Amino acid sequence: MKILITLLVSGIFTNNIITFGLLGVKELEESKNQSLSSILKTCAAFTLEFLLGTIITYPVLKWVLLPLNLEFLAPLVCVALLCAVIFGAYILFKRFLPHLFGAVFGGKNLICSVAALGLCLMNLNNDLITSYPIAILYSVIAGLGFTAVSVIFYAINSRINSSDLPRSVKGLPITLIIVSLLSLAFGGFSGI
Amino acid sequence: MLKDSAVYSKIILSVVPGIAVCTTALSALIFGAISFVSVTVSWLLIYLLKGFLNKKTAPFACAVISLGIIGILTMVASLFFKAELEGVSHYLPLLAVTTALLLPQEIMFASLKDAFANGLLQGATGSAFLFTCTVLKEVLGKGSIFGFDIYTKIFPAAEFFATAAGGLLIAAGLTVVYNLLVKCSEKRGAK
Repeated sequence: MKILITLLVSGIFTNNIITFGLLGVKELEESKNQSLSSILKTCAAFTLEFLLGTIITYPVLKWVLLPLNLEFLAPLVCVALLCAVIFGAYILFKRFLPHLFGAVFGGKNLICSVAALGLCLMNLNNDLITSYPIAILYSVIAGLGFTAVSVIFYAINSRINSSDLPRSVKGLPITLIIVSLLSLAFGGFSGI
Repeated sequence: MLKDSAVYSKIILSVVPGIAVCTTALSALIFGAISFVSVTVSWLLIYLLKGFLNKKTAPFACAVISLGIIGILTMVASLFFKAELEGVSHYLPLLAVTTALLLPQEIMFASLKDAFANGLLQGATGSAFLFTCTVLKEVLGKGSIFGFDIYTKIFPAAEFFATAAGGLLIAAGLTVVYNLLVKCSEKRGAK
């Protein structure tokens, strides 16, 4: 139970993939004009990618590359495996779950996700991740953290859209300011 | 290309993870140099290989090529700057994926001159932005530049700016300045 709480606090607040590592800011910027349901679908797709990515990459990195001192190959291996797993999921969803295909893959470039690659690479050096099941659990929690920030960002952004901002602050600057404040707020949980 | 705010935004978003980890101007210089070389060479290599690629395979090929270049450059850089690359090296491969995202489909039809110019300009813009952000981070957050103390003996530095959140705020400020400059140049053009 203690481990679960630690993982939850770490994955959602203190080591959140967006606010701590600043990975996935691009996805937030792209989600600006989307509806909440569309954002939630995107987050579900990313959580699935984190999960599948960790299931496939963790054993290869931890049990093959690390013992052979081939750590420097980790990024290349991760990109190849992530592409393979996403492509496999793409075919499986299209063939067997066509009603979910649009929701998961509709208009999203999951293959080029910095957040997923970052998570898979950082799993190697995360002290909290001590075993394979914990790595899988942490990937789902990281997805929840991603969803939490995306939903908060949507709520803040929808209020900002209705206010009169200077033209030079609109767009990317306001996204960076919001993420900066969220990062500051989430960083406050690090004392727990 | 720099006046196109969509391209500029993509370049800035590609270096945002770097802002989180680069805490000293020297680490930003190394990070930026690796980013600059990898983006430029990736563009050129993709241009040379375009006969074997299509729109779907080009981003993946670019990611792999870029990762290879980043890997080699990181290994060389770590021989000389091991301490500076300690916390940064895990973030360098992420540049490859963003490079692949930056790669517009037009490269498949671009000339060699365009490919080289685009690669050079994208790499230079991203690296210059990252370096400027990190220098400001170091000056405001640590009161030093390249490790040399500037003002902390007179008054304390604002440590907030040394964090990822502070770095993002500086990045936002620089983007506002960029937007104002574009706006001014548009007004001049209209006159």
